[in-house]
Amino acid sequence: MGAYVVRRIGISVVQLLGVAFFAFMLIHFVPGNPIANMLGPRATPREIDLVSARLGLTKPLPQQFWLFLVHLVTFHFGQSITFGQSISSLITQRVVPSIALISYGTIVAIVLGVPLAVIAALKAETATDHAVRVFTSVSFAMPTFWSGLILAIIFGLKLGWLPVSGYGAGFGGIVRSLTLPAIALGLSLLAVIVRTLRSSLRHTMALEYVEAARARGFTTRRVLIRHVFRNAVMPTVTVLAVSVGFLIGGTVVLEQVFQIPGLGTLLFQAVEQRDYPLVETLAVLAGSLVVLLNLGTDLLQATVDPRVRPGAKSV
Amino acid sequence: MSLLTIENLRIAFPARGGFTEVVRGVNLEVQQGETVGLVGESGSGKSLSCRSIIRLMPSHAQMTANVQFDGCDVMAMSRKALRDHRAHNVGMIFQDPFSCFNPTKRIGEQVAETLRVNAGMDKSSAHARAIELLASVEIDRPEQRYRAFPHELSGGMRQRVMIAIAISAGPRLLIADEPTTALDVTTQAQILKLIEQRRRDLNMAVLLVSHDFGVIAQACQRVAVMYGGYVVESGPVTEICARPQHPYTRALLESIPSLESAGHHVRRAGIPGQPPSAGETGPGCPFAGRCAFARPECAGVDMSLEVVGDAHATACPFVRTISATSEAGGA
Amino acid sequence: MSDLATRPVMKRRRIYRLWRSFLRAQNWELSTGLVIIAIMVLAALLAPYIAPYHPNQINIVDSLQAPSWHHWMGTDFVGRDVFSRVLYGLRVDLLVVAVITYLGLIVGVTLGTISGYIGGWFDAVIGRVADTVIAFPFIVLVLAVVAIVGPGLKGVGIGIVIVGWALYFRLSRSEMLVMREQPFIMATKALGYSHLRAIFRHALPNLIRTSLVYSTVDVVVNMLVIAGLSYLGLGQQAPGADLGSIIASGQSYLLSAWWITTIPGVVLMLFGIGVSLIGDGITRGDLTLGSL
Ligand SMILES: Nc1ncnc2c1ncn2[C@@H]1O[C@H](COP(=O)(O)OP(=O)(O)O)[C@@H](O)[C@H]1O
Ligand code: SF4
Ligand SMILES: [Mg+2]
Repeated sequence: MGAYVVRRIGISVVQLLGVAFFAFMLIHFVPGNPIANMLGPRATPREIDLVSARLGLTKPLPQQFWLFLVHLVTFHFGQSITFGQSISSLITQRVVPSIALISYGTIVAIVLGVPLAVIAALKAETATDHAVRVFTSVSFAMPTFWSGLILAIIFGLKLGWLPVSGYGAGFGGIVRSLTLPAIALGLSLLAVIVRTLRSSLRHTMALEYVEAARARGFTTRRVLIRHVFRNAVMPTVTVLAVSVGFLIGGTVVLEQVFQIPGLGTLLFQAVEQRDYPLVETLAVLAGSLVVLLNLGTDLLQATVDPRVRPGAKSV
Repeated sequence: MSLLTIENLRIAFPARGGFTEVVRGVNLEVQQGETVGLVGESGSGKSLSCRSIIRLMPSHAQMTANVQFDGCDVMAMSRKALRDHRAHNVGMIFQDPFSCFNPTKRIGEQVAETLRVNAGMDKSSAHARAIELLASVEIDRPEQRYRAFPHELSGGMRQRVMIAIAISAGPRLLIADEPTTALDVTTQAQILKLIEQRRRDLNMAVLLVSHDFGVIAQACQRVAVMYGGYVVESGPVTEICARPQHPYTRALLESIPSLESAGHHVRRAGIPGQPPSAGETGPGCPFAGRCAFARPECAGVDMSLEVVGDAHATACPFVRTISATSEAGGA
Repeated sequence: MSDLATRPVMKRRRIYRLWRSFLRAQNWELSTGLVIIAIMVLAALLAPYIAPYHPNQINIVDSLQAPSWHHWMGTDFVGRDVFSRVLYGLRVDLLVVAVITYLGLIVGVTLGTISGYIGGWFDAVIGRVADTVIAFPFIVLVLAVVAIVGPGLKGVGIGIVIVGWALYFRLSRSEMLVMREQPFIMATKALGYSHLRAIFRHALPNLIRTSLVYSTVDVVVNMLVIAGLSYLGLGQQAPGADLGSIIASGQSYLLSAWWITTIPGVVLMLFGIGVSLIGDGITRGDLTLGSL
């Protein structure tokens, strides 16, 4: 187990380096001069050179990358050009709403998705199963920003139950203001959860040990919860971790729809203003989050399923 | 009164525009404390037949029968009664010891779970009893093995644990569905010996399923031979080994190298041809396509068992003429 | 051995069977999906002939008209016909999504096939790049590219292709690893065919199927990303319209003119449902994101 953990962490470190390198190289590979774009059409070549020098873009590439890494590791992300503030303090101000929205959306997806997947698996290939499949196809096909707008029309503007913009104060206020975007986000994730869980439940329910458990006289409930669900849920957890990138994407757009002052809004503003250092930092952080979550699920999987641990000792 | 009586068991699965019957009117009886064999090629309906005893059917299967266990009507049992029946009356061992354990739970916990749920034991006494049970199926160092995961044990070892779970409630009947098929020959003999030992100690009856007549002949008093969803011959093992009547039983016996079947010196490696798959055969004898003695009338045979000797019955109505011809041919 | 060797033949039979079940309407997912997508593609192709108005023709007098015989989907805040704009928007979106998705597929499958076949340092390098690209949240990376290239569908397209190839690379690389050990590939080598010929004549047709099936998921995701970025104002630029930007333009009139926002969203949704149904029909629901 120890050796596995060390090796798995090693892989993640390499991936993190890759993420940083990729974000760093983007500026050099993609056509267009970002500094010229940033300063707008009226900037003189001299001004462009000056700003490039200030951002360290005139140094040799390896040196630039090394400085970039050092700054990342020490959390010195530098100054934002547009906000005139340090990037780290900007991120600290904006991180909570985004994390709250992603978590809330994931909870919505799980609360809706798990029962649907269980029903679809138990009634596989019946009308109920087809209905669930169509429903998840619809929820997957809806653009999140659009379903957010529709929810806002119905529950915000017509019925007046929930706010349609802003970020409330206190726990209750936050929950109220994030409910509609979280539902929109959750609906977009639903299909992935339901399909993955349904197919692994079906796979697990067909295994002989499940029949053996039923033959012992265990209740269906016990068999489902203790023996099927526990073993079938891991692929879904993995898929959820992989989907975080997808959720972050949904959040970026939904924060605009509902005027939530989160990291998505920050990224959007940074892109609009061509605040390149800020964009780069946010991209690296988002990529790192995905890498770390994947690491987390792999280690969790090794704890849950003894067969995954290489070198598990024989008794 | 017999412990178990199955009458007219029929099991069908939905198929193109109707149902395909894969078990077609099986009768079976098991007395208190005896070992009964169920033998036949794979696909003949053995597993489904023994699962009918605890009504453990695939979700879309249609089952009709009269199943009496110790005077209780299994088909009429409520869900609760059925769970109790599965938990206390009948224990079951499966063919593949690799796949019939939950891979993520320690094997001791799987034994203890059965004890806690079915015998209402608390955690510590279930733990102690599980270790006793592991010891009783001849697992050495049971305390350490308690903590092992299924994939860490050998096939034979896992089959022992399976037996421990199956007998944990002291059942009246142990169903062993091909318990040794996945094991090597040495382990196979050990497991059969263990089952026999446990049977005597606990005074259980055993229903032993196998596709190998050698295994059945070694362990059982009575045997039912299945083919294409029918019982085609049944009777005492010694009698059937000495005087097999049904052409399928003969072919089956001839295909075992270790057994000397009376009057036959020609030995074949197996039965030529493939067993029919479910629902492939219409009315009449399902063996007709492979039977050396088939005749036009075979298409009209009703497959009911006719007595041919002391507690010995067969579904082939032409056995008398057949034994005459084959004896003439063999001599 | 023999069943592996006959695989290509079985594939063809499978396609034949799919086609037959389509005709007999047994595979309702496939039939419904194909009908939906066929109608949308036709409508987009024939937009100049079908559209009753010029998509950008302003007519302030007729602004914010509800759907009627004159304007099937109503008009927007400057009186442009929403139906005509949706048709032209769909035209833009379908074209962009098809080009970038299948460009990504071609790049990914080509690299993946070669990588899986030759292995070595080539495989190692491209493999690491693919891992890295996949680690980034899709939209974040596309946004980063847009930040550099500037707003517009060009930046969005570049961004999506930079990310999009990676999954096809992984899929076809792992298929190639399996395929390369199979009898009919081995046989071509034994017969003295060149490696490239072995790959392209025999392995590629088999490999590409998996990627095509996955593209039914990818095309929907890409469509939603394009719409999302256009909604944010970073995709299609005014006065041109695509579905995302039409939705955004109606946002201020949600209560008074629901149609501007609602209808293009329904069209996007129908596209997604149609493509998903085709995917379901082909795989009968056994391919999930999790199986990648
Ligand atoms: N779940 C099922 N669905 C459809 N057919 C089945 C199912 N289970 C078993 N059968 C059919 O029933 C027949 C008997 O199966 P089984 O009792 O498992 O045979 P055996 O144990 O003798 O090998 C087989 O031919 C098989 O095709
Ligand atoms: S009934 Fe006919 S086919 Fe069947 S076993 Fe007897 S002789 Fe053979
Ligand atoms: Mg069987």
